[in-house]
Formats: sequence, structure tokens, C-alpha cells
Amino acid sequence: MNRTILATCAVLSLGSAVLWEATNGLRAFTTETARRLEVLDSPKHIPDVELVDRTGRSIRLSDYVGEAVIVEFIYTRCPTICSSLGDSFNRMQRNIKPRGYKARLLSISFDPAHDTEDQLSEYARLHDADAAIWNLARPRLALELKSVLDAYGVVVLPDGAGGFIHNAALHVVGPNGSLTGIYDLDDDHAVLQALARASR
Amino acid sequence: MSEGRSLREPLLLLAIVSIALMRKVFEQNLVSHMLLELPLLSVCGSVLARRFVHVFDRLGQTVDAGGATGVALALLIFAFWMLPRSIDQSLSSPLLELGKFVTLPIAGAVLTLSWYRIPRVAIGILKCNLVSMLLVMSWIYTVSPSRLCNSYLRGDQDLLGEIVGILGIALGVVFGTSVFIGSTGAELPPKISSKREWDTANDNP
Amino acid sequence: MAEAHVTRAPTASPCPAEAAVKITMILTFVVLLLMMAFGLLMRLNQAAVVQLDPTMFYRLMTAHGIGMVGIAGMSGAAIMWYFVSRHASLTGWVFWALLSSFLVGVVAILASIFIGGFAGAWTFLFPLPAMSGGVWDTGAAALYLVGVIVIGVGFLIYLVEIGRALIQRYGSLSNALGWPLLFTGHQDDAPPPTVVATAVIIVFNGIGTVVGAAALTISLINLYLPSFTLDALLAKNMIYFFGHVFINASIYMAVVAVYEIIPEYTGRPWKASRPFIAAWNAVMLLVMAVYPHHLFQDGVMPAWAMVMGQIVSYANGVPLLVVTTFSLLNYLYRSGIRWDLASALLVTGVFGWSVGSVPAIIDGMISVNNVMHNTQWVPGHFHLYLLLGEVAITLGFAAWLARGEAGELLSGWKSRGLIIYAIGGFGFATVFLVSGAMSVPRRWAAHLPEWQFQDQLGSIFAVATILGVGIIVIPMIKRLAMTMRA
Ligand code: HEM
Repeated sequence: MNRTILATCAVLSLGSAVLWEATNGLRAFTTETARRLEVLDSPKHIPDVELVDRTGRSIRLSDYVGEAVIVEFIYTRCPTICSSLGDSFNRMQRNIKPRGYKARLLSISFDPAHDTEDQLSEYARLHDADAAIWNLARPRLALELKSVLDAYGVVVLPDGAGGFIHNAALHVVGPNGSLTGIYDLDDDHAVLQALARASR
Repeated sequence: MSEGRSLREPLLLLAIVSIALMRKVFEQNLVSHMLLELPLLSVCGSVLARRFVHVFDRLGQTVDAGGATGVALALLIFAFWMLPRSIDQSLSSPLLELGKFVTLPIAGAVLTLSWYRIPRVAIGILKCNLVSMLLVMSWIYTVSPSRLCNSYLRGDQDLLGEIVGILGIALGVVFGTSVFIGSTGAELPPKISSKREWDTANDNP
Repeated sequence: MAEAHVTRAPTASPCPAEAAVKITMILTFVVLLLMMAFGLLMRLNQAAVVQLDPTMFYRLMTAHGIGMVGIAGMSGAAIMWYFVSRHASLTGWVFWALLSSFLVGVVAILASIFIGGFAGAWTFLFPLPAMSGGVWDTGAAALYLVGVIVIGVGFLIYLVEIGRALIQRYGSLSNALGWPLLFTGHQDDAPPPTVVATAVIIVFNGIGTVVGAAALTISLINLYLPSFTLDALLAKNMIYFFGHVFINASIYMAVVAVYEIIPEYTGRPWKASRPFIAAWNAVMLLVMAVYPHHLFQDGVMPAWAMVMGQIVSYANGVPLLVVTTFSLLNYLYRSGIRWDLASALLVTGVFGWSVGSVPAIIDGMISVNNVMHNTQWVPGHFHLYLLLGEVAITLGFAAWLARGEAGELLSGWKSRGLIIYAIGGFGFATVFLVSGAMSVPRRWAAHLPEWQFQDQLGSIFAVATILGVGIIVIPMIKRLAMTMRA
């Protein structure tokens, strides 16, 4: 009996410890909340991969010296969530200028085969992208695409109908090039607060 | 007959390994991942353990009186694999994937080894708990405004929620009716309490 | 010979965990008096005699509601446990587990209300716990829900254990429910009344508890993940189903005491006749279908549910009440019953229960309901049958449990206490009914000046009730404690 109590307690405490760890202290039950919590707790370094923007110019995150960058992941054919992402970037750019935040916007396509320079430009036109603030780009190589997505924790799945399913969010990369926050695309308040902090 | 018996364990191990080899098929969508792969692994572990009930009986009586330790361990393992996050991670981390193929058969095995020691009340509670957890899980999967697993489609999630809900209701009905049907006589058939009785009951059907 | 076995099964054995049953009774007295004091405070506030902060009123109302419902369930559970053990063998630790989970839950609930400020009413109506408007924080609501869940788990263990014991003894629940007698008419197959009643109760209360647990879990998740919502109407259905079933079960559990104790006084065993079994089985189905009468004002409910609710409201407890009351009268008639505190309280309880059901039947009529359901008519109805029914039977059981060797006849302070309590309780509930008929709303902290006369009258009756109960209960606490030491 006593040994049973000991054994049960041992199992329970070990198990609870594992569950506690596995849920970041009962705060994150899904991968999405976990990835958001984790970057908040400890900002994550992002590999400085070379991208090609909509004018064919090659760019890197490290080009944005002393500025925060909000990154979103899209594919231009997306009929739903990506156009919401576009809308929220549009709201962002209208807020950044008047508030004088040192921040830029970057849409990265995870469908480089299809999203050529023309497609990206068309998407920019549709969403009224202000070229001074908002740039659009795609990785050059499939391998680089994977390393970028993995670094951010974005998972892209074919939806079986020629499109993709992906976890959409706004990713704030601080001036020092590390990912400091991930927010819902309609959580303007939190994103702007993060930018204010980064611009200080 | 004895040949069949000695073949059983290797066959079961083979089954676990082949599930592991075929994991891409099972893990292609959420429903088969959660409702086929995970339960199959536990069932293999459970059947595998049946032969060893008496081997572990002595040990069980000291460290697992009333089945407490075994039930706790199994429930914790199941709880871990009910986290949408663990499911996602098992796809991206080989270590976790391996963990899944090890821990789930263990959970099934441990539950089987403990089963004969669990008091009847506790079994009743476990059944009630199973039904209500399935229903709550069904609710979570169907009402969640977002995808719970980044690796699976929203449609899969809804389907899983619905199937789990139906499963919960069906089990509830089965457990419920079983208490109404019993022997018509005034006494229950003799309750199987010790492992020896269980063995004999199994060996001479 | 067969008759003697009807009330006392041959397997009669001392009740396992009898000490826990006695502790529960003492706990019941304490909680009852404390919650009655809270009730008096609320009533005095409505009467404008005392001035409570409205948030304090609603905290008291929450505590009073959950405290009374909880202790009614707990005392009913103790009574049923005590008597089922005469017919089937129970495992003692289960009742201790129920008692412990109850105590833990009570501490959590009290802390959530009086430290955390939770005041969302005992019914925790979804999504109210999450919408305090700043009065309480999420932690307090969560603590409240967790407290109720802990108690619910205790009850679930209790119900499953009783089910297990009945199945072990009678083969299946159908046998324990008396179905063989119901369908074949062979009197030999009749289980004792206590067994029939218990089987009915564990079925509907078990289902109710599981539904309640689901509603609680969902509310708890919703507190932290507000985007996980439940259709509010479905949630209301679930919660009222649970609440209604649970509070009904508490009185049905207590009634078992009448079946077991009254025969000791009359010398006539209480038999499970065919109508008796039919009535109880009807309760099993109907008690689960009656709760929609709480929802008549929800115009969105489908019409069939409303019609069902109305019909069932008429029918629900009536057959059982009729069967129980008439059998009781029949058993009492010329039995030369010895009137002591226990028998007097038990008989009072059965009549309080009967009388208390009448306003419910009236309330169940849709036309009346639309006018009355949010008035004090409703507290009037349930105070009548709980205060004079459930509480009286519980006190009667406790008096029987604490009785001396030579049960003293009813006289002196005991009879005075009983009369003060009965008049106080009847008056108190009647004032609620009168106010309800005059459209005084329920759950209002402050009342208009023209209602305050009734509120003051109600307060006076409340004082009498508390006084009467105190007189009855205080000597019993001593007695019970003494028998426990013995
Ligand atoms: C002297 C005895 C009692 C007094 C003075 C009292 C007083 C009150 C008052 C003033 C209310 C609020 C009425 C309103 O809505 O305006 C109330 C509600 C209630 N009472 Fe009592 N009560 C007593 C006994 C009982 C008993 C014995 C029970 C149950 C066993 C009980 C259960 C309840 C319940 C469930 C509510 C509903 C709370 C809610 O609306 O959320 N009461 N009581």
C-alpha cells in the first residue's frame, strides 16, 4: 500500500511535470499559441536569407538597419486569409507614417514558383501598398523557403484544391533581426504597441 | 495451439513496427492519426501485455494496489497525446515521433496489467470520464475558431470533432444500457477477482 | 415472514462510514443555520432594514443558493447511503471521499465568493461567469467553477458506487428498478422501496451530474479562451437540466428516510407495490424532462419543448407524491404511532413537500409562467418544498439517528421548536408567494417602498424559522457527537 502510494505519487509528479513543460505551464495547448509564447519569452534569431523583391532586386532582412519589420506570409492566389493579411498591412502602413514608427512591412510569398514579380506587384496594387514602407518578396530557392518558414514556425499545407492552408499571423522582427512577437492579423493594438516599443 | 501462442508476441511487435513504417499513411490526415494510429498502438500494447499479467502480478500488488499507479500512468500518457501540440510536434520532431511509438503501447500495456486490480467503482468512474471527455473534446474540435493543429486542415478537425462526438454518445449509450441488462437472477455471475480465476476463465472458455 | 424482509433486508449490516454520515448531519446543521442567516440578511436588505452594498447582496445570494443546494444534496446523499447499506454492501471510503470533496469544494467556493468577489449566482449561467463587468476577475470565477466540479466528481463517485452495489446485489439496474414486477406483476420480484427509489435517483442524478460537469468544464474553458463558445441557449438548457435534476434528487434521496423509518413506528412495513414502482419509474423519466419550465420565457425555445415542459410539469412529481402521501396516511391510520421529534418531522416533511409542489404546478402553466417566472413566486415555491420538505425530512432523519434508547415523546422545547419552525417556514415561503403574485421580481437587491412591508413580514418569519431550527438542532449536535464517541 505504502509503495503504491509512493509509486503513484512519483508517476503523478513526473507526469504533471511533463505536461506542464509540454504546455508551457498550462499556457499553450496548440503549436500556434506555443510559438507565439516562445518568441515573447525569448526572441528568436531569424536566418538572414536572400530574397527577391517585386522589382527583381535582391534584399535581406539585414538591409533594414535600425528598423522593425512586420513580416507576413502569403501566396497571391489565396482567395481568403491572405487578402485579410493584405488588409491588415494596409491598416498598418496608414498607422506607421503618422506615428513616426521606425518600421517597415514585408510580405513574403511561400509560393515562389507561381508568385513572380508581376504577381507580387499585382497583389501590391490591389492592397494599395506604399512602396516606401511595404515591400513584397519571395525566396530564391526551395531550400531557403523551408529554412525561412521553419524559422518563423509557419506551416504550409496543400489544401487539395490547388491552394494552400497556412497559419496566418503578423510577425514582428526587431531592429536587431530577431523575432520578438507574433500576433493575430486583426490585433492591430498589440502590433502597434510592439512597434512603439521597438521604435523607442 | 501452443505455436499460435508463442507467435502472438512477435506478431504484435511486428504490428507496432509496421504501424511505425506505415506512419505516413496514418498521419496523412488528422482523423486517421488520432483515431486509428494512436488507439491501434495502445491496443497492440494491451494485447501484448495480456500474457504477462501473472508475471507482473506480484510486483503489481506492491506498487500498484488498486491499479492506482497504472491508471495514473496511462491517463497521463493519453493526456499528453490528446494535446494538439503533441500531435503537431510528432510530425516535425523524430524524437517525439519515436516517443509516441513507445509510450502509447506502454500505456495500453500498463492499463491491461492494472485492470484486474482496479476497484469496480473506479472502472465506473473511468467510463463516465471517458464519455464526458470525448464529448468535451468533440466540442473543442468543432467550435475552435482556429485550426488546433498547424499540420492539418480545418475540415479534418471538424470531421474529427464530429466522429468523436458520435463515439462519445455511442459509448454512453452502451455503458448506460449495460447497467440495465444484467443476469435476471438476483446475483451477479461470480466476480473475477484474482488473476488465477482470470487465467482459468480465459483458458477454458 | 416475507413482509418483514421488505424493509429490512436479510443482509442488514452496520452502515459503512456511519461516522461520516453523522459528521455530514452536523455539518448540515451548521451550514443550514449559516445560510439561513445569509438569507435573513438578504431579506432584511430588501426590507430596507439593513443596508448592504449591492455587490454584497449578490455575493450572499450566490453563497446562499449554492450553499443550500449543496448541503441539501449532501444531506440527501448521507440519508440514502445510510439506508441503501441495509440492502446492498457499500464500500466505506466512497462516502468519505464524497465528504472530503464536498469540504474541499466548499472552501474553494467560499473563497471565490468572499475573497474573489464572485457573485454570478449559484447557477453560473453561461457566459455570465466570464462577464463580471469588473466585479470579479477570471480567477474568482474559475475557482468557483472548479469548486463545483470537485463536488460534482465526489457525487459521481458516490452514485457509481451505489449503482455498483445495487447491480451486485440485484443483478441489474432493471431488477433494482422493479421492472420485473412492473411488467409481470409477480409480487415476489419486488425489491424494497428504498432500492427502487435509489435506483431511480442514481439514474437521473448520474445523467444530470455528467451534463452538469460538461457545462462546467465548457464554462471553465470559455473563461480562459473566450473564443471557444457554446450556444448560450444550449448551455442554459444544460445548466438548468443539471440544476433542476440535482435539487430534485436531494429531496427524493431524503424521502428514502420516510420509507425506512416510519415502519419502525407503525410496525407496518412499507411495501413496494406496483403503483409505487410505476410512480418512481415515471419520476425517472419525467424529472429529466421537466426543466424546460425554467425556459418558458425564452421565446426562442422550440414549441414542442414548451408543450412537453407544460405537460410534464403537471405530471412530474404528482404520481409519486400521491403514492407516497397516500401510503403514508394509510400506514399512519390507526397505527397508534408514537409521536416523537423524528416521526413528527418526517411526517411534516412529506406534507411540506406535497404543499410545496402545488405552486410549481401552477408555475408550470405557460400563461402564468410568463408573468411569474422572474417573480418571487419561484423562490416561494422552492422554499416551501425545500424548507418544509427536504429540511424537515433531513432533520427528522437526524433526530432518529440521534435518538436515545427510549425515544422521548414530543413535548417541551422540542415541540415548541417544531411549531416555531413550521409556522416560520410556512409563513416565510407564503410571503414570497404573495409577493410573487403581486409581481415583485426575484433577485433584486433593493425593493420599492411599496414592497417593503412584505419584506419585513418575511424577515420576521425568517427569524422564527432560524429560531425553530436552532432549538431543534442544537441539542442534536451534542447527541450525535456523543453517539460517535461511543
Ligand atoms: C430561513 C431560511 C431562509 C431564508 C431567510 C432564505 C432567504 C432567501 C432569499 C431572501 C432569497 C432571494 C430571493 C430573491 O430572489 O429575491 C433566497 C434565494 C434562494 N434560496 Fe433561500 N432562504 C432560506 C432557506 C432556504 C433553504 C432551506 C434552501 C434550500 C434548501 C434555500 C435555497 C435558496 C435558493 C436555491 C435560492 C435562489 C438563489 C438565486 O436566485 O440564485 N433557501 N433565499
